[in-house]
Amino acid sequence: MVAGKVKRNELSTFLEAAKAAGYDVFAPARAAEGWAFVPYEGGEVDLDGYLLTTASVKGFVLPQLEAFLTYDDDDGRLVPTAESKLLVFGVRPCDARALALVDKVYRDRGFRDPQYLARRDNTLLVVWACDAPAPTCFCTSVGGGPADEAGADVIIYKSGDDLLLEGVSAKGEELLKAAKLEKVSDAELDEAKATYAKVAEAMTPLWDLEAVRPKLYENFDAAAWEEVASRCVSCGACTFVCPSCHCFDVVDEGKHGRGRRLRFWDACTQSLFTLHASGHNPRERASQRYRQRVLHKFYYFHENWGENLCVGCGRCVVACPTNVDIREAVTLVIGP
Amino acid sequence: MAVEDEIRAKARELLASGKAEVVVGFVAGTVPLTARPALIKEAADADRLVWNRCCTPGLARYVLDYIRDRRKRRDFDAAKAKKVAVVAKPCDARALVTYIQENQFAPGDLFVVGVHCAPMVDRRKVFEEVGAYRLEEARVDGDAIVITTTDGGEERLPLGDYVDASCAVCARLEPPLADVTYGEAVAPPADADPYARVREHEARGSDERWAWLEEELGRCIRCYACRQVCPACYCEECFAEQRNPAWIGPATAEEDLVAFHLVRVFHTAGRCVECGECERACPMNIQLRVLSEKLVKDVAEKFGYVAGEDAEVSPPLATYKPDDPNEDFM
Repeated sequence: MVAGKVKRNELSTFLEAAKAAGYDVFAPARAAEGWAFVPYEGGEVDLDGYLLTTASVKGFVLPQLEAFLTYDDDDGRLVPTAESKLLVFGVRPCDARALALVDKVYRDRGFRDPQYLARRDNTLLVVWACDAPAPTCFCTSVGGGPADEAGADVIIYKSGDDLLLEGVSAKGEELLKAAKLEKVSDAELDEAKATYAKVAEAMTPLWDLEAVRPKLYENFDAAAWEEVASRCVSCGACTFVCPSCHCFDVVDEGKHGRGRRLRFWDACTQSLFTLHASGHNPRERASQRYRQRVLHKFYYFHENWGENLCVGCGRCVVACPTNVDIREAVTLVIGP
Repeated sequence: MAVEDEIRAKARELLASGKAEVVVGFVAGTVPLTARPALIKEAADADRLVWNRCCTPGLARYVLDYIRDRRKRRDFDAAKAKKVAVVAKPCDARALVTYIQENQFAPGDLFVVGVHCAPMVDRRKVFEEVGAYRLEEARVDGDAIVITTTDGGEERLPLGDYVDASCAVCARLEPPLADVTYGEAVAPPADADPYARVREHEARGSDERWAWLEEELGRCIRCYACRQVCPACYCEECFAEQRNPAWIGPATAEEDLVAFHLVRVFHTAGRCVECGECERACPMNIQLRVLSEKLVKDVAEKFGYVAGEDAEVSPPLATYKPDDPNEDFM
């Protein structure tokens, strides 16, 4: 175990050490849209009132828009990604878990996406464990937790006036060693973790995932899908703020034998999703598209990768302009 | 009788008598200070309907979508079709008027349960003030928003400080189209200036205005929530998604974001009913109403026209008059 501690009001010693170790550091700050990860300019970080950033951490490794290929008559070339090392501080466990899930798609089987992997390998996530989850949080219902280590490199616990930092990946341990923080004892760390375990216990599970999964699929044709999605306006707010949605679309821009290939986030809730060139769309109705979203999160991804894709951050619940609520959708579709 | 009870009773009557096949209204939401759209089809479900200070979403688009949808049904018989009923705030009713002006449906297709509006609550402002992680429940009680926090505490916020920005200056309190109207209108303060933010924007120099556009629109994530909730944005195919020709790029390049929002808002000129849903729906909190309100102001000043007031009048951008302000205006 590699761990260390800093005073809560001296977190800058760690962030400065990360900068000295060659990382471009990002940290949460108040922004026009709520909270956002912004470049760390030095000084203490004020996280009073911080729950989640409005846009998730996903954009750091899977940007909403990127040119990934340029081509001309003779050749196609991958666009290289930046070499810089990135540290995102203050990531919530749900977001880090989401990246660990997205990793599977882009890394673990078949095609390994070079641009995604280059960015992911260069990114270090410092996770800020949750001691005050919101009523819209439901991580413990979907396999995560307020101090979940999945996807994290370093995880930070509050302990009185101290912040305890534990390395939970090789990258994270290396950084903590370089930062030379004050030592922390096993007992201290265990005690802090125990308080976070209580936070987890206080979050009432919404369902038993193992039971939910087959029922959702069995109820593929349930009328409840129409009921929950009748108010869906087919925008992409839920998918674009989601830390684990990872579908993209591709378009070529170019003429006269040269051009570039762009990839950009796609949204299954929008009406152009899976629209065929013929004009036919197998998911013509909003309810069919919303069902795709829920089943991808709670069923298909598990079929493919053995894990639940929804991480329970609750961003979609908050962002939806008409209050389509994925928690309620699952509950209604599986029925009593 | 409370407005909510009147709405429920009317909905029950409309559905039970077979006069209407659906009532588009609001039901309770799952997030504090949220009411959400619902299509009520059974008289027994009429009691699910709510009316409160959180009924912000626009319902006109649901009416339009419902009518478009049912026309596609094979067994649809226009002669026998029942009415589509809708609970309509003044801005909803104005949107319905624009649909009639634009020949999307006939007044006879509708039964409009008009509601005199009281200004709605800006949920985002309350969440920001209280902290999303602390906000367990909330309700409006007279002039206060009563908050229950996650630690079981109770706080009272003055409602007046948390009124939605569009509602706060809205003087159009009467639904221009209604079969019945319930409730009492609450007028905005006499000095409320609907164009305050526009005037601020107009006073900026061009560089500053551009910087403002970059700052605001630069946050856009192209989720199209603004477009999807906009009653005026009902094109079957939006220019933003046409790929042949591709008027703009598909994602978040800055020039595409600016182009998307400016073209979209110009398409709403003389049609925007000032509901404010674009701004409310935006997950990135972009001040979209500054753009739409600028056009509302220009249309009012140059053409003396207010959208959605009278179904018999042709909108200025659908007509030509010799004394229109610019001779090069198409």
